[in-house]
Amino acid sequence: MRTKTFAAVLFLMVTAVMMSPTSISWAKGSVGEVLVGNVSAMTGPTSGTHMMCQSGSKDYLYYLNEKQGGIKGEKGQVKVKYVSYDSQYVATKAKDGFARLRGQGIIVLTHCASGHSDALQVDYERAKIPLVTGSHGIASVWSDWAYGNYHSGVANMIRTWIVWCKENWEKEGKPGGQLVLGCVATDEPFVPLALWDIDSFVKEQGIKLVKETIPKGTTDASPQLLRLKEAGSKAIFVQSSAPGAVVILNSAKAMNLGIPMTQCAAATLGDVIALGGPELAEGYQGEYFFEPMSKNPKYEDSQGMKLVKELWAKNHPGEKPNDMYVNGIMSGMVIAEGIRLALNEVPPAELTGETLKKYGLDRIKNFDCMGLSKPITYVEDDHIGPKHLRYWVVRKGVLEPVSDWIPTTDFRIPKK
Amino acid sequence: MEFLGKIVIAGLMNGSIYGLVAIGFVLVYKSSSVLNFSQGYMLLLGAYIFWFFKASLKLDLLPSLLLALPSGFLMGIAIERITLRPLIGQPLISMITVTIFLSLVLEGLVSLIWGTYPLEQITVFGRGSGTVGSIVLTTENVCAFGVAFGAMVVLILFFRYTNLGLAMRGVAEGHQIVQSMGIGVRRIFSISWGIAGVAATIGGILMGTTLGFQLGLSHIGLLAIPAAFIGGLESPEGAILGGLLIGLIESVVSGYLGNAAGVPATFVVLILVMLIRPYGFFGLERIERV
Amino acid sequence: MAHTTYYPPSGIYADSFKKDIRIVKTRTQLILAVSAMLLLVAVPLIPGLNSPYLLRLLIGIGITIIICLGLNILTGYCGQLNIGQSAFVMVGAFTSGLLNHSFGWSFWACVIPAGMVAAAVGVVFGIPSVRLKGLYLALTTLGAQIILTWVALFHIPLTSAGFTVEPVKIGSFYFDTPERFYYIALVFTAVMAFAAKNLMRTRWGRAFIAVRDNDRAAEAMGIDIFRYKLIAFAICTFYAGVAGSLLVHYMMWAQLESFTLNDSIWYVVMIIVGGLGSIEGTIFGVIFITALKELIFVIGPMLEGTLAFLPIGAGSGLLLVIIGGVAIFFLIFEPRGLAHRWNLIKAYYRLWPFGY
Repeated sequence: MRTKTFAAVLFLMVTAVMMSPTSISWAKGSVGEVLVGNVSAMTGPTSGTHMMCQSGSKDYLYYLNEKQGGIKGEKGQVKVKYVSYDSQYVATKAKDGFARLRGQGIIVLTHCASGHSDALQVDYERAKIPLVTGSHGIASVWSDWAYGNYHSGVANMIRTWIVWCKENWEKEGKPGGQLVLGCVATDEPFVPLALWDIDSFVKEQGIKLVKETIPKGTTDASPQLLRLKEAGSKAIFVQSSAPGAVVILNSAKAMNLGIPMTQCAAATLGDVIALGGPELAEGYQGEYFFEPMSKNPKYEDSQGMKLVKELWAKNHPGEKPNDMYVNGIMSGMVIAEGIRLALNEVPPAELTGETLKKYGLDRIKNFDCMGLSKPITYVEDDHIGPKHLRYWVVRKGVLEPVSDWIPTTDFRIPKK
Repeated sequence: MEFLGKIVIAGLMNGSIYGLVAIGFVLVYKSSSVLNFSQGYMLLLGAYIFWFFKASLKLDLLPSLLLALPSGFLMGIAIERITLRPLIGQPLISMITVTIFLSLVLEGLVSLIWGTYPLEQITVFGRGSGTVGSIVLTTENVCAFGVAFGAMVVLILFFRYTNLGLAMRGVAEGHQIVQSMGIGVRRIFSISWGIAGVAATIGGILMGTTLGFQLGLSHIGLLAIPAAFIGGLESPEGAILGGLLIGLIESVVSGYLGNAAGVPATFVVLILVMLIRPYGFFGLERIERV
Repeated sequence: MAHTTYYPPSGIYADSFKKDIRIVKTRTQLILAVSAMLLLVAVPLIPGLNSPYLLRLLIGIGITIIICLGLNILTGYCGQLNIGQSAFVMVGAFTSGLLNHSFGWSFWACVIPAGMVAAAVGVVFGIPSVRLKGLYLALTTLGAQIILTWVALFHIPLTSAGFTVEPVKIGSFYFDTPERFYYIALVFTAVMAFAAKNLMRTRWGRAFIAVRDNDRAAEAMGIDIFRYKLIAFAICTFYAGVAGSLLVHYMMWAQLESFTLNDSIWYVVMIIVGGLGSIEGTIFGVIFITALKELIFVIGPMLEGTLAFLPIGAGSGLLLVIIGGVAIFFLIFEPRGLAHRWNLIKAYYRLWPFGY
């Protein structure tokens, strides 16, 4: 019976894999090696961005292993091993994955998936394993154990943009007397957090905000854009990942919309250019809390960007520049800096999630990721990232800055 | 009035895409009574194959089309031959499940070969646009509309006047009878899956060139299901008209109510229509006898 | 599809209907069942097996079994295809979560209302079954998925952003770790499975099967098919609601993205692979598919490292191909599900050495 043999082999394989965290003895990691865990979607439509982020942090940490034999502190040196789990962007699976990675002995977790930050909070707090993330959905920055390298929490994306638009409008001498702004969002899970209590903020600012939603996977956003136009919007903020943004741009083009649009940090302009082509993306704006890789080459690279480009050329030969990769590298840098600081205080054998937090991450001050972003400082009750962002615009397929670094608004979703 | 006009045009353009995808469902259902859940993923693979010819091999538009469409046909035939043929005579629901697993395989194939990151954009139609009154029409939209309409006409003629088309209609009625009349049911199966593959490829090319080549393209497979049902699962003209209707409802409701109410609204309309006409507008009514 | 030839063990016979429908027919069966139960109870105590990850998987399997049991009663026994099951899980989950979050009700007070609300919603979406059959009915359940998700996203502020839920507790003892919650999941799964098994031996169960096998004949025999279809919908969605309630109290977090159309489709896949119209089959199917999917989650990332020369995501892609392929081959060899194979093995064992 071939089928029976086949079934038996399959069964054995499955059991072996399930049992692997307990049977393979890499638990806790040998002395001089620490495990960094990653939970993100590696299959499915969101996997592209997640994989890019993951690749960034992984490439950077492995680069340190190769270049200088790991991360060195005064009390010793460790090499990093990177382990990951595919969550398919499902919160339950993310929790299962965290349990598995924890069983393997990780000391720090990183990811790039908004819904996960909240669902995982109970788990990593209890396990006393810090989370370092560049995820835009980080609403749980109230957690003592979560460290963001994202600008300042998902709800500030639109708030900062509103303030910026208002400033520009005031500079122009307040044409129209009343500023009307539009926001078009997809029905993705991060959006409700991004629009958290936005109405009271809008009232405070004395402007009008019109909100519209497009369903996931749709191929047309004209009705929503038409409604925004009818309402007299001066500018439109796009709360969506890259595929949604391309749908919106296409519809805007098909109706000659002529209203400037800005992409939120959930997708990068680089992605939008790759998906929709430079012609479609022309004039599209986006916000960045780091230096984008797809910027116009005439601008000088920071030291960090030079390293990013070197790693990119090595690990992704022949591919077009990708901005999400920079985000991932920044997560890797924050983790490495934390480990380095912690190793100044404790020997490698005592490096755990707790000591990493206490002696490492909590002590990070004015860390600017080799010039990739504005400095990051973590203090008690504030583990938010660089708190500055910059607006860029697509011109002929590359990015040009349209603003200087702007401090973000500091709204925080109330503690749960 | 201008608002309504724009919304209606946008809805019709969008609906023609739904219609094209729905045709794929109809072709498969017509011959084998299987709802092909992998249609969206066939569309994805078709789009990526076209991208391969156009961007990787740097062929011109015409040769890439000429290579991509037969590839789509072969893709359909191969799928039918390898996965569904052995299941003939087995419970229908097993065949439907196979198409679900098939979508995993197809998505996996695409990520294995091209990766999960979106591919580089290619322009096909040249991005022109013209205006009629105050309404703007882009080349892509007009092409999508034209292709959908053309496909509908071709398929109607095909099913009405060619021997093969008539044979396919016969297969839809009952396998044993048709087989005993000397028509090869297996061949018909292959061909209908092949045509479904071509339809998917055309849809994929149209969508990929406007929305980018990315894994999310497969999502349209689910959005187009209502179009196939409302027109009737056995009817190609029903699929196109159903697609236009669904696109129109979605657009108008979203336009006037906001809050992305369009998609749920299409389902409400759909369920109501189903209650009155359980086999859709153009579907084959099966008379049940005790 | 449940009709595989049944060979009772030698010497076991039934001289009354009551005897014929017994669940446990022999002493061996009783011993096996009790020892299996004991083994399951002991799992969190056995070193090597009690890693949180493995227990979490088992809990996940338990909750999914409850969902799929309900689905199998509706789809496998009563013949009404439902591809919107996870929407009903969502209704139960949010009912329970909101009662807990807003009014402070404990899990024990929430779980039954969660099931009832889900059942009520389920009955509403079951009404079209008066005229619709097969795939056309499946479409209305697909509609349920889309419409209910839309309501949760746009009309209830809490559910769209997600909210925290208290873990299950008895007195001041919290079931908040996998080791503890495991027992809650085990008890619920066992009770629900037993209830389902029993239900199918009653008048209702036989009416469901009659409706599935030939609805016109059933009606001619005096069975009110519309009524029984609605009852089946209510039971199916009640199971979903209870599972949803368990799920949020286990996750301690409720959010929309845990209840997608994809999940609904996978539930259908599980009962088909397991065996339509079979309680054991449901359990087999859930375990089999969960294990297969877990392979993607675990091996995919490992492959990713070794296949670095391929484009990003290729490792997971390769695994999708393998797993989809395995499942397709499995269905080609065993289109009637694991339960069928199970019965064949039993028959083979009982008839040995004359198994022809």
